[in-house]
Amino acid sequence: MAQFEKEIVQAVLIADNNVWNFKPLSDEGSTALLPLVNVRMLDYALIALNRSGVEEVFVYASLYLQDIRDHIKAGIATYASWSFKMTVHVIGGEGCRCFGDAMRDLDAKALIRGNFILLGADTVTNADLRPVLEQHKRQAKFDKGTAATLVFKECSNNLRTGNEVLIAVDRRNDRLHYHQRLRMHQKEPRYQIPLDVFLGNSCVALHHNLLDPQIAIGSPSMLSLFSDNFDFQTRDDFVRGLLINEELLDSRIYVALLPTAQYAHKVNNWPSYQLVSRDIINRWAYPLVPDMGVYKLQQQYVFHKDNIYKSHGAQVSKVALQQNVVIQAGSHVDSGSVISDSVIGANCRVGKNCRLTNVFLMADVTVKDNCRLEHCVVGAGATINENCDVSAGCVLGAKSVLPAKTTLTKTLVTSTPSTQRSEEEIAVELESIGPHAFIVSDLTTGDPEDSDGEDLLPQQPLSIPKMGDLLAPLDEISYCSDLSEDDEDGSRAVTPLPDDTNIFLGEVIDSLTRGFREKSNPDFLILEINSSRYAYNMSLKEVNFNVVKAVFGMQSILEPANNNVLVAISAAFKQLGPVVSNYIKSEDSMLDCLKALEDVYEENALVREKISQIVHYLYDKDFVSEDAIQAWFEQLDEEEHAHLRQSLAKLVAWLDQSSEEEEDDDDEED
Amino acid sequence: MREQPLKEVTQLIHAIKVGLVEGSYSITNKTLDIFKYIIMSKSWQNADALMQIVRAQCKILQAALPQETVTSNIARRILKLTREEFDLLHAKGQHFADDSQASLSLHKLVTQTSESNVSVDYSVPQQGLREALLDHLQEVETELETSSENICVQAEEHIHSSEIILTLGHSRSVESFLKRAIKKRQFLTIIVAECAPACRGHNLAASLAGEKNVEIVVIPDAAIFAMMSRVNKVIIGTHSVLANGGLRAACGAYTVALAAKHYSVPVIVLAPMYKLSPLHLCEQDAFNMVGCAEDVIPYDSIPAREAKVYSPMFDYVPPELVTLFISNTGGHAPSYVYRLLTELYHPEDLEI
Repeated sequence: MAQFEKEIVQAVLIADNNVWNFKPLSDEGSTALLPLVNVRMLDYALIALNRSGVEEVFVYASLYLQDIRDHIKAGIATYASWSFKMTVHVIGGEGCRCFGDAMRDLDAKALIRGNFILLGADTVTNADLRPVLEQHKRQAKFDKGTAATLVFKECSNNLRTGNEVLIAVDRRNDRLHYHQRLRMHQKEPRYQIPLDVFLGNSCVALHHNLLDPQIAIGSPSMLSLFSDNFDFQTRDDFVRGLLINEELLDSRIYVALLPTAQYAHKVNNWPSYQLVSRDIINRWAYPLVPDMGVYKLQQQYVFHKDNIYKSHGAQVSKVALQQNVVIQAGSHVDSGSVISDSVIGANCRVGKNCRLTNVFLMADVTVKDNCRLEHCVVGAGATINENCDVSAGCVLGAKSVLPAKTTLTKTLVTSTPSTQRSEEEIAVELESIGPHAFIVSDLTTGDPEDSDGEDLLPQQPLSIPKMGDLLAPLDEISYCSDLSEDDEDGSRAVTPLPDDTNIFLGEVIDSLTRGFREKSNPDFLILEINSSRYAYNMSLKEVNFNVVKAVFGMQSILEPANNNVLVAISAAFKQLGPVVSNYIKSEDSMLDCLKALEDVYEENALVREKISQIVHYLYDKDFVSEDAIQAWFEQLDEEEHAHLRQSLAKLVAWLDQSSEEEEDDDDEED
Repeated sequence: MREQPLKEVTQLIHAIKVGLVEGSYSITNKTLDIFKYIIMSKSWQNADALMQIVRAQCKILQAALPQETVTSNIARRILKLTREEFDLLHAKGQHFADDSQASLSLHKLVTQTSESNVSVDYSVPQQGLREALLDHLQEVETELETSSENICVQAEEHIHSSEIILTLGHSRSVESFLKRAIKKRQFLTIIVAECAPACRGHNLAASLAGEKNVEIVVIPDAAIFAMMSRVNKVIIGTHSVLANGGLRAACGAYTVALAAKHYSVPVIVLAPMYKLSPLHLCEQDAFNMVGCAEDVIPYDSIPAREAKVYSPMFDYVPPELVTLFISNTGGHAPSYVYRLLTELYHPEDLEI
């Protein structure tokens, strides 16, 4: 009976995610079956599981269930290296549209008996997951509420593929406290982390250079959590939901980092496709490299220097291949063509005098003479006629035919006009560039199918991330407050201040927010602020400045209801007016107050729009005097604050006028 | 038409790929088990059919694992065995028919086999071939099992007291050879080059450090040349021995052999017979295997983005740098390897 007592290691593979990112090829077949360096992506994930000693795998497919079933069958018949000591079941169907549905379905079917490995079908890794699984089991023994262990891999900070995360981890027990995805194209100038993370834990490590390869170890409770919370759509929803309702759900997430020698990456869009292809060719994912016979029993390639993998059955002169090229059997390259950093599938034909750089040709592609291809993907069976120039992230769908002398950049092309699956069943008219070539629009106003949308900037129309030069530096986001509005916890633009001042400001904001919410006695608030002031040794000037700044830094003003900042400000001042007027008494302090406003003006877009009304309001309520406003206006630098001056000019003119009138009145009275 | 691989063969390939079976000895052992299974199975009726099966399976193994030459070496041994046994039985049968003599003279045996070399019809069913083969296979198995021991026995002949020995990396035969020498001789100093990036030399040093009366020194690969002037003998293992007497050995072996040549230090290579392969070094690119780039340079480092990283597994050591091979049958000079090959394998089987 020994074999029954032994726990079988199970794994769940989720196929068919990132459908949107791989348009138009994802409209023609499962993304899990997309070849990556001439091996299907699903095979990489299966091999990774096999190498980790997994005995039973459930592949969860939704759209192209039959295709994946056929592929698994074919793999077993041809002795694919994952077919040993591992059984693969394909389950799913049209009904499950997201990750969450898959998990709920698994829970309903009760197929999972213990802790399991959860992987995306698009993950490429050579990691041995056994130690991570052991760690998870130990943790689960210690903490009954262990729901999952997320696996991360350290990565360089200079390259973004949309899979990078910022996490806060308790260093003593590897428990996850905070999780945030990083932007795709820019570097964040700052991160916003809730204070609770640091208050509740004495030993927190922040990692901002981690890559999320979509590997996790799940407890059986993870599935039931998905069933209980039917609003969990993705794994990120799950993580977020668990972190927010930690006590309520009594579940915790832990974190494991892969050792440096182990490679892991997720292929969820074209830039990461390009990056992972390059890493495989450069042997970072060893032994998952082309010349090790990863998928087939036989070795298919011979390794030559400069990372050239050439099949014996490929007809190509050595001169044509420059570096980092994989060329499969049956392909033929004519004289005069030069290929570098590319993958050529089986039975491709490349004509004379072509230049191919960073090109991914799938099987049976024909490229006619004198073409120039750069940073593009060409689907199976496509034809590119003479003298074409295709570059900058173009994707040509399967069987499309590009007419001669076409120049394309950043375009998606499909072969038939009707393959586009639109949700609302509206026939989309596609722009035609040939009888078998139609341009697919990749712009969309709504959310894409997976929730990656929040990674992108909301102002721009969303588009599919395209391939490009991997070494291009990232843009730094300039200090501009409107970019941070979409962050759900309301990141606040803070000019870098000395530490003490910053802490003081933070404390004042906290005091005021609480006071505002609880409608506490202004005297107590003043007492609190004063004690903070002595604790951080602030001068009176600084206190004046920071109190005003703090009022404007409150949550209710940063994110006012209906974006009506004036109502929010008047509400805040109605409640906190006595506190402010306690500090802003003299002419000098009024000037401090206005200077603080100037700071706020720089940071908050809503305030910027309404600055003159705000100043007017302050004047109306006697927080600042007319003289102070005028003195402040005089001080403003002509060039630096041109815009501010412009917005205030009217108000100041009006003030001048009214004061003159007053004087006139006085005169008349005399 | 391609033959379908046997289940055992595919399982062995997978085990070797994943790393469950490693080291030439265990690979050889497992391959031999498979061929034994084939011989025992009822799927063949005559010698020709058997040879076809063995060839087909060997080709599959070779296609999947081109670097593991021991698998095809064993297949060649099996083929040669089959031919010999068939000839013997054939000759016996003819004698019964010809002059009903039970014993056959050496002269007749020799002349007959050499005559029949031209055209022997192996497809004739031969009684008792299976049993004879299994008997003979037993001998091969014993030879394999005792090969390491037989090499060890020769340790005393080559290593003397208070000598300084240099070795590289971690070879199982070298380990037991040195252990034997340590037991028999006093005041040995063993210098182990660590063999980066895998640094398997550390394992060897740790294993040898358990012994008494010996000094172990672990050096980085860069210090090989500096240490060589004091060394009396270099003893290394090898992955395989090529037809010309050259070596396909762990990366770093060429460094060691060149340094030894410079200081005229004898280089002794421990190579059991199953490592002798009738191969020539012709295609330089396909000869080697390249490992993981991460061993050489960290993935996150900035130069790694543009650099081409090679981490080769093997070195080719030309025969003129090798002084002596020690196999389980004794010591041989590199120039004698071709002779050993003709003894081991049938000339028609060199190309499978």
